[in-house]
Amino acid sequence: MATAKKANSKPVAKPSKNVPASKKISPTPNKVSPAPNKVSVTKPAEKLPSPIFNIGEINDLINAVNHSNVNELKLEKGDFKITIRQGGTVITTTNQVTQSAPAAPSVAAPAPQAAAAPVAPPPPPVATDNLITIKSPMIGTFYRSSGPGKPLFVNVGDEIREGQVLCIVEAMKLFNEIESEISGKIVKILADDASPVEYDQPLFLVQP
Amino acid sequence: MRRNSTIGDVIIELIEIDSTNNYAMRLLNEGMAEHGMAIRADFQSNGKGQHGNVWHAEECKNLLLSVILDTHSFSLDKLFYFNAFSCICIADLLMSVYNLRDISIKWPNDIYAGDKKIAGILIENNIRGTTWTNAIIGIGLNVNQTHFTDLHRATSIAIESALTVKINLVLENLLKSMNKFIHQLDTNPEELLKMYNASLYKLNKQISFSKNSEMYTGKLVGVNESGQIEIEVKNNIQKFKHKEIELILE
Repeated sequence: MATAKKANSKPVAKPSKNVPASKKISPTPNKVSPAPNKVSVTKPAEKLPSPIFNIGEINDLINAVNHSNVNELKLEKGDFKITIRQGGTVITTTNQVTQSAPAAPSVAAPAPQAAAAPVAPPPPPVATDNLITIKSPMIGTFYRSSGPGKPLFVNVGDEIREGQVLCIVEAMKLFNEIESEISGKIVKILADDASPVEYDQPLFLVQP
Repeated sequence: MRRNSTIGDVIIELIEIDSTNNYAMRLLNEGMAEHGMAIRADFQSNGKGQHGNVWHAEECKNLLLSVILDTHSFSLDKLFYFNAFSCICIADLLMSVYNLRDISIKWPNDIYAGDKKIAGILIENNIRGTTWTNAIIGIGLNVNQTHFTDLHRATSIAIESALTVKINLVLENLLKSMNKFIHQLDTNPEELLKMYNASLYKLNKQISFSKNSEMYTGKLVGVNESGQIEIEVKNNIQKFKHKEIELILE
């Protein structure tokens, strides 16, 4: 999980092109991160811009949300916006969420792991005639995870959704995340991790 | 996401993050990214180098930046031009703003000052089917760091210029540089490749390289539009992909 110190549009090249205030903040999306990092804010407070939520206010908000039936709470104050979600990650872009904020129930109980818990039953035999082949869009090296020791993007039997990253094909030090065009179930993985792949080489069989 | 904004119109500054590229990827996945969005961090706890490698940078001393670009209008055969673009933006910044000498681009995408690395680039692309949806250009530029564990291979703006410079000023100038060259990706990408080649480290020099554990020497004659390096070995120009060979630079 990250904390935005400040998120502003700066008069860098063209001051006239400043975005409206509503665009100045982009909450830190962390739902997809398999292992959210704890935030560690190391900067002195004086470096930070002024109109913010303080820790007490954030704690009160989290407690209020926890004790309610509200799933999601969004609040804006000055340039800062905070979003608190029940049972998921706490997503904020204030500059005051520190490790000392006991807050974040989701940090204590990592939601992503819990969500991944249901064990997929052994894949039933599938008919092969209506399967869709996902091919490599380029020559490169096929990777099933974002790095050594990192979790695999997908396994056989996994349900995948459109837009989900299935693999990386690296070419010329460019890392290309190959996303699924369809939703379905991975039936077969046709290339080995870290092996070279050709243009149009089949990588996955998917049952839509 | 539309390509109608200037790069750096929106800048997100973070104190600490796993990696600015990961953050950018999460913004994209959440549908919150915009073309031209720039994400800068004081510190990366898990900065990305090449697949699995970790990019180390001292806190608050270097520019750690990711820029999100919409690439819907580009075909996948233009991938390497984005690499050339990224290299040129940094090289131009170092030469024209900081007046550093002997700046070159080491194939495929490191920036060198003399024989030392001053910046690295890691580009991540999202591809769905044959549609290239967006690129995240991750840049690590050594600015004020003066101590490196591997000092004979790394350098910084501070070391090369004997000046301490404000990171945010470097950021501002780099974004200017990117906005200066970005249009060429649409209008004249070949020119970007030409500029890339003109700044290529060891261009027209004899270099040694290893392939399948065997050593060879040849003259580096350039990099083509696919990003392959072209080396003249015994009057015969051979093309190699990244990782197919390893350049020996000692």
